[in-house]
Amino acid sequence: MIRIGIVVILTLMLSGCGLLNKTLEEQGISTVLGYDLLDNNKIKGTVALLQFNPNKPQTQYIISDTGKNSKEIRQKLEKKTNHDLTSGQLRTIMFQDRLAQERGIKNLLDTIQRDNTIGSLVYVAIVNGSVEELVNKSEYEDASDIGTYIYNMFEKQVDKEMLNNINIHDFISLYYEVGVDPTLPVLKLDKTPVVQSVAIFNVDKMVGTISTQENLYIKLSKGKKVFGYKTISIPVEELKEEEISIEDGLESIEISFKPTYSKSDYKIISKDHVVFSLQVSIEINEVSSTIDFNSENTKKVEKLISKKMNNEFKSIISKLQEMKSDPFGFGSKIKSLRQYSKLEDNEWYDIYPKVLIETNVSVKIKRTGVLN
Amino acid sequence: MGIPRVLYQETKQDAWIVIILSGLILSFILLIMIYTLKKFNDKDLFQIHGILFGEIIGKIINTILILYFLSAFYSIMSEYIELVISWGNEGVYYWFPAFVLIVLSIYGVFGGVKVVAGICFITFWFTFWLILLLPLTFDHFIFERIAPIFNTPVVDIGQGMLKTTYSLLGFECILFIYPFVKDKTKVFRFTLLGIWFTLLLMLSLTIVSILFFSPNHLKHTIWPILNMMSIVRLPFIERFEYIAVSFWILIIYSNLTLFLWIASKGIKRVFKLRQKKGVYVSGILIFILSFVINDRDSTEKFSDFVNYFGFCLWICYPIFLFLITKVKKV
Repeated sequence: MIRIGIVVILTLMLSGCGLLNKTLEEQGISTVLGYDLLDNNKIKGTVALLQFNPNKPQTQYIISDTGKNSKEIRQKLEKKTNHDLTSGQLRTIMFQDRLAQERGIKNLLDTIQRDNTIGSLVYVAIVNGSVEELVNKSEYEDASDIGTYIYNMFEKQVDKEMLNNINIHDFISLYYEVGVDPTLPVLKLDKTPVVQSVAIFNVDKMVGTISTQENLYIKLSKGKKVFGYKTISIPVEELKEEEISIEDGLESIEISFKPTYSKSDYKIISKDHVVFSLQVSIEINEVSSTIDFNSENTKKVEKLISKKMNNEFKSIISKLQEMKSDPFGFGSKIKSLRQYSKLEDNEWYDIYPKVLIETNVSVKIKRTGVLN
Repeated sequence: MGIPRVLYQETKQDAWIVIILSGLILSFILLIMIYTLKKFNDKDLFQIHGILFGEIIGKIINTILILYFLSAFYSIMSEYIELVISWGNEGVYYWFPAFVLIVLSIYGVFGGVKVVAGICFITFWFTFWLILLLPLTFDHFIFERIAPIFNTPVVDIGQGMLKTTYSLLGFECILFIYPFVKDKTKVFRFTLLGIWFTLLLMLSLTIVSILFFSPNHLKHTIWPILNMMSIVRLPFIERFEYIAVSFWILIIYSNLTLFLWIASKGIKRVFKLRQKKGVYVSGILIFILSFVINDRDSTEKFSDFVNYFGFCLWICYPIFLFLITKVKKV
């Protein structure tokens, strides 16, 4: 009897957990969260909520309000909806570029990480222009809402193209790490949100952008698989110098290829001298003129592409050094050596622009498609 | 769950070395313990104290042991409750999960030592698979984070070892289970196996945490293992960490029942109470405690205290005990 009594009492008590009952229809499930910096130094938060009523034409509902920090904004937003705002399905967090440049985004991301309902697989992005406008005006093809659209697009871009995999965990982790800086994709509204470039950070402040093509080198240096295409043009004179015969009347030829494998190697000679070599295997996909890829010519083309990429790589690094941003993580590589293990962020940013970084790209053509 | 962080705070990227060194110390202590136990056939530590120090002093020491196990029970329980309340059950009264866990443990202990051992066995297999998820976090590893190896000064390593050895406690239970073990020749072999298995687990978790989090990020993260699991995304379940939180109850449950069983056994020996009554008394004491110590700061302080207490009891005291047995020539 006593046992049964205990079981009954415990079962009754379990229903006390119903305190956290969440009914789907009562939830305001947010998929996108965006922050804009206003002129009066306040922050405007925008949230896109899923709308479940099948009789209504629109599938999402957007609200926004201003405040000093994210929780104040949230409290104001709660006043604007009869739903219970939840963030368990949050997919993307976006920041206006001005906010990222002037304020830095660490504090806003910190509250998001502190919240256990938000997972680590949330993408973070920068918007060129107003986030509110992007969320409100953007079209989203056949996706159910803008949040899903952006999430799917990023997922595809990360897996198959040239964007770095930057979710909220990676961003925060790189933010805390000495000698590496995070990067984030930049979106711009052009009917739909379009990936325009890649934002470069110094600690948590955005300091500039590079193109996605330039971002390829960052992705290659991390040894991640890249499936995007890269096109380079080689002037005819250089080809002639190497004695590769092509059709007459051309000024340069375009070669498109796809990197299939990469391996990076850092040689740290001293705190201010690093040799960075990158070995890339590529597959040729498109050539604007016919080149006979026999083994001799392949070697020559390899050499030309390597030279071209090496130059590009160098210019990107000097560009990044000017911006005082280190997405390649040279600082952390140096720090991982015993004699420099006490390197700190301040010190690193002081010496970083002056560090001599030699690059050495070697390209290997593995395949040339089904044609030779 | 929080262990990688604790280890990291002391010795940075060399935390894994500390684990291995601590393992060696623990093995040595274990050897001494088993050696001492063998001298007194079929007696547990409570009875050994009676024989060695006489009735009254023995009882005093045994009472301290009982207090240790009750506070260890509370510290494990409060750490779990802290976790549950921070991950998904915000706003639940602190006493409620405490009540449920205490009732569950009392129920388990009533089954006797066989059930307690059974619980330990089953929960091990129920929770072991969680470790298989760790490789899924591989994409986010940065291998430079573990370098440079052997960069911590020896003094710090020693200090780290002091602080980490007690995070690895739990093997002391053999002192109380020993009389129930059938084949006494194999005890050392299997407890050693148990210790090193746990260490290996901890080692892999710590290394993975070091590679996964950047140094300062790890310092800020209270439950790194859980945060790591939140990056795991399976096709049929999006937020895996909530499942891990619920499954974690199994891991602590085996500890809770074991500790409560030992404490009640001690109460039986010292106060000549029936074991059932001892269990109830301990349960009520712990439940009352849950109204006193119930925020993050105080639970952390309490756990620190228990850990220090445990370190003295199970690392230093066995050596002392061993020497006494040698001197007294039992």
